Amino acid sequence: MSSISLNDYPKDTWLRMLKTMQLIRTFEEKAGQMYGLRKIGGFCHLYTGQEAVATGMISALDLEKDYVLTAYRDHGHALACGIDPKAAMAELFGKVTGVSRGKGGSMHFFDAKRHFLGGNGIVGAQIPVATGVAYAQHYQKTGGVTLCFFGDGAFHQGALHESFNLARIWNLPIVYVVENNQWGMGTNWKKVSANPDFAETAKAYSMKGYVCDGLDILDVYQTAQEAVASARNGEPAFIEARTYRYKGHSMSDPQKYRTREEVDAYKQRDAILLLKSRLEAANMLSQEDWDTIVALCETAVDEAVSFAEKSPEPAPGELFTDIFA
Amino acid sequence: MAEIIYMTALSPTMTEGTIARWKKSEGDSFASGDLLLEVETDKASMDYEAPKSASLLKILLPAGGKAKVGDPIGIIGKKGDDIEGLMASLTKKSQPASEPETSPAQQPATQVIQDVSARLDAAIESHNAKETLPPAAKDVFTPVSPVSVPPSSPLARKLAKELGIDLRAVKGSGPQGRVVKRDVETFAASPRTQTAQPDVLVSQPQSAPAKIPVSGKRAVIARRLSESFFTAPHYYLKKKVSAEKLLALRQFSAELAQSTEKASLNALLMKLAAEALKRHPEINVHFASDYIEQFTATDIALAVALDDGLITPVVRDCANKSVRQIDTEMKALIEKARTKGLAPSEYEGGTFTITNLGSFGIDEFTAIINPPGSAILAVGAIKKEAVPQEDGSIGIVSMMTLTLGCDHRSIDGAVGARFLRDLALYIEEPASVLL
Amino acid sequence: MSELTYREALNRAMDEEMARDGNVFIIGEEVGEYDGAYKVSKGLLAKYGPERVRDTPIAELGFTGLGVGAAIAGLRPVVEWMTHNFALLALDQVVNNAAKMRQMSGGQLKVPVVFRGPNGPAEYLAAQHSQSFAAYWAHVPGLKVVAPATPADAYGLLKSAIRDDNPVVVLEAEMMYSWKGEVPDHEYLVPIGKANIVREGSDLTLITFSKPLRVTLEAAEALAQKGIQAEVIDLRSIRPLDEETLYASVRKTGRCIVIDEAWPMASVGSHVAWLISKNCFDTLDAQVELVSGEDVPMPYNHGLELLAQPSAPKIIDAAKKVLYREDL
Repeated sequence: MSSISLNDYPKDTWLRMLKTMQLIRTFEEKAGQMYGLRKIGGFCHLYTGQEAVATGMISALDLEKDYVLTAYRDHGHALACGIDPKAAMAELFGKVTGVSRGKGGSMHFFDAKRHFLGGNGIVGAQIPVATGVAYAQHYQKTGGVTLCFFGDGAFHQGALHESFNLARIWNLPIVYVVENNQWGMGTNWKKVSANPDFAETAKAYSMKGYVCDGLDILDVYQTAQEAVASARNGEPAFIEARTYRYKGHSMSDPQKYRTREEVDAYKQRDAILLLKSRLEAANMLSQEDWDTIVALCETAVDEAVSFAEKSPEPAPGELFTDIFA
Repeated sequence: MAEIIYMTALSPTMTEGTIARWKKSEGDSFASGDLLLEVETDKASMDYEAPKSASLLKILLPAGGKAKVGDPIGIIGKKGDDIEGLMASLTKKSQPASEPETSPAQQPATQVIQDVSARLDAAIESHNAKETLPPAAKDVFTPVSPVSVPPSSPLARKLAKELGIDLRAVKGSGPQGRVVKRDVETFAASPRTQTAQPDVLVSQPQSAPAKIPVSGKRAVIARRLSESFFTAPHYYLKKKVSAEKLLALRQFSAELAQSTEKASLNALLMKLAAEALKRHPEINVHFASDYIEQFTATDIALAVALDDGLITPVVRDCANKSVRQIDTEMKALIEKARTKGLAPSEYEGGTFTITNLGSFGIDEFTAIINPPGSAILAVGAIKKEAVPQEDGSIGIVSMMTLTLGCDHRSIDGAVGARFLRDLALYIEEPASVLL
Repeated sequence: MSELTYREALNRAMDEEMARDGNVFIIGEEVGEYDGAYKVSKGLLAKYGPERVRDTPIAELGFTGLGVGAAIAGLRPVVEWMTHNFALLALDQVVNNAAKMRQMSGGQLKVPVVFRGPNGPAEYLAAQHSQSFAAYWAHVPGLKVVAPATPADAYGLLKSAIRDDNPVVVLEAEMMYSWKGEVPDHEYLVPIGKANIVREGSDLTLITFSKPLRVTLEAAEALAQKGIQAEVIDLRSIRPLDEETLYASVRKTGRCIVIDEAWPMASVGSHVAWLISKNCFDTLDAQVELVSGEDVPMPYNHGLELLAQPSAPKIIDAAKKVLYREDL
């Protein structure tokens, strides 16, 4: 539970976060539908349930100089970085107007201008890369910080442990965030973790280890600010955000490993509803405000689908472009 | 706002599903992710979750109904939303959302891939069909000739094709008798290879056209003349000349030598041509792509027909030799060509060529330039013709037609014309070369 | 002209590029205080300091991926692998990130990183440390791969690699580090993607790259004693491959032997041999021969390990086949 209160920040801060979370939720629900209608193919990992983590963490950044990298469940992070839902949906549709020109797909959203450096399809492979981005920030003394997201499944990759060590011996400005949604595909994290306390493992690398409630965006935001400040001062940090995904690992996951009751129990603590009810209790959000947010998000996502539908396919010649600089 | 929900693919392979039961009734509200209905697929019973928080406004397909992926199954929205418009759009012939327009020129990549895979499928099918052909049908593909071409290197095959050589006649020196470049070269250079007919030809069916093997010499002729004809742009100039004084000179040559043996007409023509070349060095040239080589000597070749093909013996430096000398040398060369064969130095390097088919009664003809020269003179038969004379009367004159073939890359029309005009003058008035 | 070792030429290239561009830095195991496991980075720590000559823990995956990240964020890292054998631990970062991030981002990112270190058989190092991975990198679209075989090329190609906006893998060789050669004193670049006709000849074409250039030239010299003029081509750049230079030569000679010290299956050599067979088909007077490393893990025993590698006699044996001459 966070120690900050809503009143510590202007109302707008929270409303913006609420809107971002709702946009991600609406986008992902629509993406799921479009996948079912075969408008989207391949691997598609939805972020529904985890919205507070990307939203709260990225809200603590200054994307003029900070960077974000994540894994393949990347739609939410991309939207939280300000990527246009149109370009995101078009990417899912494989269209040339997509954020990666239809060449990346669901797992490889990129927006270099907004300092969102991907989506990565190999578990844990973005962690050394993010460490390198932080190395460049440190080398060029930009004052920037890199925020590196990954799931609990990535925690046991060698890439993570090598990177933690490098970041600490060179004191790189990086915050590593494990979004522990508790299921690495179909495997519970406790089953495969010698020490299920990830923050403690981070401490083994002499790195600050934070734990936050990933469903409580106040806690996420506060923890992120502390960790980012630490990284900006040359001390890398680690955060475990305990969260939950509502959908399967990917679209083809029958989810036999968990019960509907478990999923429903987490939905009772839904991150969006949690923030919404708090704002309502604090008289910061009216029913009308909420309806407006919902409507805006629906419109944005509907427009995104229609944009994606109408966008052209890449020309065959595109096959050979964008390979070398 | 109310919206239609569709049957979605609930497993990667699902194409259609049957609704087992709706878990919500019309009017019920639900949260995103709630179980909305259960669908029987080809494999299992799957949960269909609510795509968003809303109410079920209309069930379009009740339990037991079957729907393809993409077919509408219900309408969801806020309670009280108007669904009439949606219902109308469904009944108004519900074409699935029309595809975005793409110009035919801009064929989408997916389409290309589909086309390619369709072609692949067709190819595989036709291949499989071939595999199952009855044995009799397969025989169609058996080669008619029982003798196969010997193994050969690609370069040897290419060279043989250029030289017009039948590889079956060539003995291979490579591994397993592979015919390689050097074998083709050796074959092409050997003088009498054409007589060695491979056995295969004997066993040809009677009705088949006879295949006459290409001799090495024939191959060389074929290659050199093809090369000349297809690389040098030829043009031709024609001029009819009186041969009266030429014949008189020929007669005189015998008298001068106190012999019955007259100088040959060709030797006279070679000498006069050499004199003309001396005055027109721009004809005595070779086009060498990036420069034009002008020869200093007048080495004149004469096309001679032998039993096994054409040869062009060369008399060197004709401008500095007498007609008698030229005649003697040419005769010796022709004799040698008939008996022993000429060395390359004796038939290569003519700077100008004369070919004369007069003895066959040919009036006039065009010839192919014999490299390295850039021009060839084709001489027709001498025939008596009625020719109007200066004084208006008609005289009977021995005439012949000269046709000069030139390589336009090195000799322009006017240049060739000047040369032919002067040569004609020397033939009609041989004494003019002295002036 | 100065006579430099291959190692000195690489060192001069890095030194000049670091002086020229502050974004160039070296990272790898023992590159700093130890002066480089093979002394290639000798003296650079003293000159440029620990920020720009960065010693790493033994964590190839980590620091290789870090190089990729630093590159997309604006630096020009030179990642030294102590040997290519250890780079297998970093294969994922090179294949899945360095080579693909530009394409996956629809052309938004560039990845100007150099991965360099010794590759190929050395001496007495046995199976895990004596092997060529040229084909591993060459297989991957999105990478460039160069293999300098002389000190002059080592200098010019490494400078080009550092200035290239794409990931470039540089194949060096432990045995070559001490080889000497003339290197011009003035600054120059050797372009990536241009093969080098090291020796002209009309009778057959010998194509190779990296260390085997030396035995190839020995074979060419021995053939010349017998009146056979071999044209020797050093690929220099494996990806992109200068195909036209190869074809022009083989169309002239009609015979080709490819020499590659790697194992024969799916190697750079087998690929080049296929390209020649396909594109020079009508001008070939013999099959294209491949003189490869033997298809075995490298043994420790010196006699055996020499036997496992391309050699001048092996190349001459192949020449006999393509020339159809047993008398050579």
